[in-house]
Amino acid sequence: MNKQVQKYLWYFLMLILTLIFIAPILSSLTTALTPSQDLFSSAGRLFPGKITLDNFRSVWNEMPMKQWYMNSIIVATLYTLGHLFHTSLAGYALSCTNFPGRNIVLIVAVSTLMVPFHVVMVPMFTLMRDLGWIDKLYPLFIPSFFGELTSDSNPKRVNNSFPVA
Amino acid sequence: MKSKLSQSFPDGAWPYLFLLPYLIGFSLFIIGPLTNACIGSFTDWCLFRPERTFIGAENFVKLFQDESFRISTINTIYYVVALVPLQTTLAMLLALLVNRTFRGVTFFRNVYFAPFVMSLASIGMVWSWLYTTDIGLVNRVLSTFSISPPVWLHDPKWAMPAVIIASVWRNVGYYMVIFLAWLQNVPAELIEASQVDGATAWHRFRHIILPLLTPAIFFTIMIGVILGFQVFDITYIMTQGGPSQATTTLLMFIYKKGLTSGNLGYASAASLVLLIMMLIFTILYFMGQKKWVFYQGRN
Repeated sequence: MNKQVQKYLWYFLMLILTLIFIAPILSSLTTALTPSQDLFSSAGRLFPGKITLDNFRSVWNEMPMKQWYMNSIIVATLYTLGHLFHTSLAGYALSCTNFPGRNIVLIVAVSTLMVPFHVVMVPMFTLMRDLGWIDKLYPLFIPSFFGELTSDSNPKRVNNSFPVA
Repeated sequence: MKSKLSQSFPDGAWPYLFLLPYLIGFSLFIIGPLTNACIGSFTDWCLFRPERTFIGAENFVKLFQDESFRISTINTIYYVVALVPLQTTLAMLLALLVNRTFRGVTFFRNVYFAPFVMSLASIGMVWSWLYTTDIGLVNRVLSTFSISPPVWLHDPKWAMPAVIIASVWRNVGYYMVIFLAWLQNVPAELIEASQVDGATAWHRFRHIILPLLTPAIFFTIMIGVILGFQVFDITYIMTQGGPSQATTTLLMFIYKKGLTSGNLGYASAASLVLLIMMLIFTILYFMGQKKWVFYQGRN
């Protein structure tokens, strides 16, 4: 096959795949920009007919969006700082120093990476309740300063410590 | 004696000080709750009263007779068994497609990775909207091909496939990146040598690229299964476990029993069963590793 033709075919395929990956995101953007009275007549469309920012305005005014943004920003910032704090300290101790019991700590730390968060979900909930932290932001970032089981980051951490090559 | 000890461990107490935060967290937030879950699973632990009494293996016996536990286990396995091969194969194909030097290839890579950056909650919302029976985008597309579309999230038969499609759409970019990293490690001389020998593209893939990718396949399947067993957010947003438990997964079962009905002991027992299932899978999977995973320079 001609190199040039092959290249155009490749671009064509990539663009079709792009459409598949973009369509759900695009459709939600379109829905957000569509006036609410036209929502059902224009549903399932990829591009909006009439464009309005009313939805953004009303969600900002009617919902405590500012509060939600602040919550997310606070939690994201402190959670990241917390993880940097305990992982850099512990990581330095485990990789650059030698002390009695180092291997035990290492083995135990790595093996808890395999335990999913959800096994401790129920006791964590009662622990937070006993601390009086229910409906507060504390449970979302305070454990990160010390070390905890996390539901989503495990595989990536296993990935890093994983002796694949 | 003292001088000998300080010779082999010249850092003294410093390492322990550095480890202190992690050790506090480990005892408070990891091993503490873990022990608590183990003990709690043998008691009638309840959300609404402080004391709990030992009841032996009753929770486990009840669990294995529980119809909805059986259903949610089957649902979870269904989800994992359908999702993992799909996303792994598609991610590998995608990685092969974008492993070139054409202009704009970085753009396409980013586009395919984009869904993984979105939060699961918003993905659930977007896809629920797409699956809306009469007016959703999915059914509009299907009707243009004159396929009579199912009602997706309201049909017990189609709700799980719908969730799986949305999950594949989200995950495939992440696994593509892993495959891509391995593909870029394939030595160029091997490819050149095969071209000199006149190997076809298929042979090159089958006998050079695929064996070199087996560690990546091994890793993506393992992570896919571990994360698949923990599916919660996307089904919770899209279906709340319905219709008629068709998408109730193990985690949702645990969540409903523990935090909604307050039956903490029972929920802990279920979470331990989930942990044991995952441990058995991981151990067996690692044991089977040397049969098919090829490590460059090691075999």
